[in-house]
Amino acid sequence: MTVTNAIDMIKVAELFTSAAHTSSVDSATEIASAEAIVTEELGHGMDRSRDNISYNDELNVYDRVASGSTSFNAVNAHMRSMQEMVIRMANPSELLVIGIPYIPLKLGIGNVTLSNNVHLDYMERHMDISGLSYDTISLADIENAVFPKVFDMASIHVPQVNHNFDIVYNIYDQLPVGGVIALTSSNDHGRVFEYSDAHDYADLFVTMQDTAGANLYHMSAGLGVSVITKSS
Amino acid sequence: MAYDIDADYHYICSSLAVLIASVGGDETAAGSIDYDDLKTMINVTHTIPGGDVTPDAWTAPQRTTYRHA
Repeated sequence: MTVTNAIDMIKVAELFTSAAHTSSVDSATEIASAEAIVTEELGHGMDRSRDNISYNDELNVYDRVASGSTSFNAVNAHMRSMQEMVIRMANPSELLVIGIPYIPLKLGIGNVTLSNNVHLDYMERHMDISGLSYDTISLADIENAVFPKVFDMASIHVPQVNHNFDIVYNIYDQLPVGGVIALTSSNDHGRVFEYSDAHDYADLFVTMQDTAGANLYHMSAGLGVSVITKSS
Repeated sequence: MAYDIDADYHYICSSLAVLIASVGGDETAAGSIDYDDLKTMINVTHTIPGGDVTPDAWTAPQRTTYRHA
């Protein structure tokens, strides 16, 4: 492979990554699930025209998977690699997931609690969840800092919480020392780099930078993964 | 536990109510909001502390993605 751009670099990086890193989810199965979800949305009358949803991260995720785009699959797989790496390193007992829940759930690490949103609904109706067990929690409870247990790790898809970053702050506050938060898709498809502190994600990053005991790291490749650790 | 659509809908409406109230609207209307209302809200409320970060002439999708065509 001739490396000519960032996507090619990511493809090479994935080439030298463990083959099991996508939690044994077959891409053809993923594409079929994503196609079913997009078809269902269209069936409900959702206007998925580019003029209306443009390239918004949250509104295009299943569309992108369904497209079978080699480039998108490369950056998506790379984000999963980083997410999986962080989860395995943290080895949590109680893992809270706000995001596209299937992949971290399939890892089978710790007791998993999933946020009660449309992605949970899609997973339960369009993906094979046989043998998988999990609890659920509402975002309202997280916003109110009402947690049924102590989570020592959370994997949070930033596009699903950017309407209220208190969700992240409350999760951080309840972490034990040594706890970890992985923030996936944390560069808004590169727009964070274009807009820097004028981007709305900057509020999250600056707040965590200013939080005593918090260590914040941003891995910029592809969709981006940021990691917060709690040291005190 | 499985997906709870009633709880999710309640949360979405609560979040919309906060957004509506933040721009001086009637937050009690959140339960009856429709698609056109949503597009208008996105167009006029997508700001950050310090003000709107996109030019006035941008469309709603351009504002929500910070990307001009």
